[in-house]
Amino acid sequence: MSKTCLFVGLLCFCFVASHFTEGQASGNCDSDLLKKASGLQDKDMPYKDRGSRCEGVYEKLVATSEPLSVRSFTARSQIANSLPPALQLIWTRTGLGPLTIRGFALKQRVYYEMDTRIPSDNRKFDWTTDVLTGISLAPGQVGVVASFVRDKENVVLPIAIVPASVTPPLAGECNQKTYQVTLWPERDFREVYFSIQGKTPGGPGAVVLPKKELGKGLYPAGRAISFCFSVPAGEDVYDLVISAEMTGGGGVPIVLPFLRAD
Amino acid sequence: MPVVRDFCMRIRKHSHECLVLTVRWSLVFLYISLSLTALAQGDRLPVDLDYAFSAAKPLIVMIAAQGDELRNGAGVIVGSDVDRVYVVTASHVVWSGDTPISSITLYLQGIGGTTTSVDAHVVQAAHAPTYNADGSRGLDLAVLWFDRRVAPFPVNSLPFGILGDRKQLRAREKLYPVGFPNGQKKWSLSPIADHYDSSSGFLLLFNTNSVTGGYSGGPLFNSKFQLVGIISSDTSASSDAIAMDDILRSLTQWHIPTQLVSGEGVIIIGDEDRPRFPLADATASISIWLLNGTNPFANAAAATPELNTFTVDLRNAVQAFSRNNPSYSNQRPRELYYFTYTNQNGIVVPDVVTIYTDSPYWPDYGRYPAVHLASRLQGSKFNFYLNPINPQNFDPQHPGADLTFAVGINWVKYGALDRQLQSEAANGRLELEYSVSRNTLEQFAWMLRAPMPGWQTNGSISSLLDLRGAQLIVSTVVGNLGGRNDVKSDFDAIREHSRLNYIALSMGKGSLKLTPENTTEYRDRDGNSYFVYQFPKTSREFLKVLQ
Repeated sequence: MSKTCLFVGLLCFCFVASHFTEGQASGNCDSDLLKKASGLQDKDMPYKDRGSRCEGVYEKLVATSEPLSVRSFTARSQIANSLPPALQLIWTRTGLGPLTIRGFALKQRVYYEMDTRIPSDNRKFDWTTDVLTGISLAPGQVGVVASFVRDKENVVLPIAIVPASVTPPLAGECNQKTYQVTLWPERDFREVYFSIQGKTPGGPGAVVLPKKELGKGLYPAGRAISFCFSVPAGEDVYDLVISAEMTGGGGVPIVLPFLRAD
Repeated sequence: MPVVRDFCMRIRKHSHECLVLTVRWSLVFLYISLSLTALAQGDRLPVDLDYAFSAAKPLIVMIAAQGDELRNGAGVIVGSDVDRVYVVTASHVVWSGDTPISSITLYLQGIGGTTTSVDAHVVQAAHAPTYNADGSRGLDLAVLWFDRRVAPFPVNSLPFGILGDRKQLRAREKLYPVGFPNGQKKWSLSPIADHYDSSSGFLLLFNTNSVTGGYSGGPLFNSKFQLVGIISSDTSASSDAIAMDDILRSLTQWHIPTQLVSGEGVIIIGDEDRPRFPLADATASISIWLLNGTNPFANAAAATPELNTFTVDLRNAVQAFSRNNPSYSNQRPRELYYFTYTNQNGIVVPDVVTIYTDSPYWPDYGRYPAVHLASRLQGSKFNFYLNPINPQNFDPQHPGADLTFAVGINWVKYGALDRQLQSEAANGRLELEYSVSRNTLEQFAWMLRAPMPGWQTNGSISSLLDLRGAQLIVSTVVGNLGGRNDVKSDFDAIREHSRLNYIALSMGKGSLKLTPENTTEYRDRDGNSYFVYQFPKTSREFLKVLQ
């Protein structure tokens, strides 16, 4: 009898444990990407559950879809010329609820994503770079976007990427007012503009940074578009408003709410 | 230069017009007679990649599917029934999960290269998802249809005979993916892909850097430009396409009518080998003229006024054109013309010809729509030779020549010639002006280049003709003014621009020099010499000659 109880108990434990593990994996992983990585071999670093995050490469179905997307929105980056064994994503804002953090490759024909969800109160996420190194990404080819949900709306929290070996003091680390945004074009663009405006509960607030043209004249598909900006103190949430003109005509508008990093 | 010397001496001997050892051919007129040899003779001739692509283009469509988001991809026309034309594409282009996208537009290339948009619909019963329910890779196949009545081309004349056999694919074989990169309405033939791998079931894996968004559903051609797959996805390591045999099997199961049949394919001269537009040293252009049912030698006296000169210095004109058109390159806009001709067995044969639409020489091209030429050609009865042309066909007494490609009959009108000479005197250059008939087929043009005043002329063949068994006839009609002695002095001035020592032809990496050793001399009825070069009759021999 006692053996039976022990066996049943063990079964229950195994079930609960496996269910918990699966729950974690599915929580971090994008099921669509899991499918797209299912045909890849381990040496290819496929997108899969890797404990604290889901990470890896997947196959890209080559129909065009989103012509322009935000692949990185950071407060600061301290990565040197080569990737350290681990990176730390850090932020100072807490009490925001769970943060969804996504990592992207800023390199043509590298279809890569890292997904994780962690409480914002953690204020840091340790990111082992074995996969990034395995797919030969350079530090400048990694983009990160962290977001949380506020009033049913995704709001970006600009976070900083630093080497884990040089643990910086967290307080005030992200106080710098310069933000860096990286866009990824799937089509050719003629010009890209951005502006920043305050965000109030009633709608858009005052323009804090007027519309600015990046001014390069041509932004070919598959080549990252980066720009930096600062915002004056005052507001807590802003809208980053991006408008881009495609070379063949037509435009792409993006409005992205973000929280001050400090 | 012994070859030149021999050649010149030979001309001197027979024509009495070569006065010095370094012969100046005051008027050269190339005359080509082509025989379209039976295609069933075996392997095919080298052709230009652009030509192969142009011929296949009408089968390739661009797809814009507007669901929650706009998706762009490509598709391939596979067949038709009484009412509908069917197109295969990748499922993920036109299906969103388990739901077909209802708003689909196809962009088709019609006659003359025009693009026509038509509404299309998903055949719901003909669908294989991108991923199966168990997460494994699916066939990623969907079928669309559009109303046959809106097709901008005769559906049955589409080049369905292009199917290849994946079993014949070799490792590292060159493959050609086609798509619409980044959703642009522009057919794009990617740089060559290779590293073919057949070990992945219904997927053909290949390595390329150029497959990107907009290629899904597009065709993958093998090294002979035969259709072997439909492009589906890309990874850092390789791209993949669904093999055509698996697709055809599904189409059969779904009762989709298909007209694709095996094609012989072609041997492609690499794009990088294609003769470039001789911008820096463009000196002359020789055009091929279609003479409908006419043997030009049969009425030589009447014809010679129009067959007298073709040589003009185009350098300034071309450079001016280039200045005004900075984006001009060899990737030139062109129109694909369909036409039929009646062969000597009375069978109507469809064919295509490409005409460039931005010619710096003949801007009138743009004003002549494809249909005009097509109807003109269809209205004519062109009987191509199916066997190598016998030189006796050019005997004025021989009535057998019923179609002739003639080279070098640029139609210089004397009135215009006077103006040209005046222009030359005023501007230091000789311009072609309105001297070439509008119906010249530049597709068949030969470009003669003279990089130096001494005219060591290199010729590069840019035509894509089946030259097996054809005869090239080089005719030197020296000083033949057709009785127009009143313009002799002007004509002499022209001759100064047209000294030719030998002719070298290049096709891709191969080249061929016409010399006395490999030509045979004949005479026309006026006693003028012409030299005949007989192209080899098989591809193998042909390639040997070109090496």
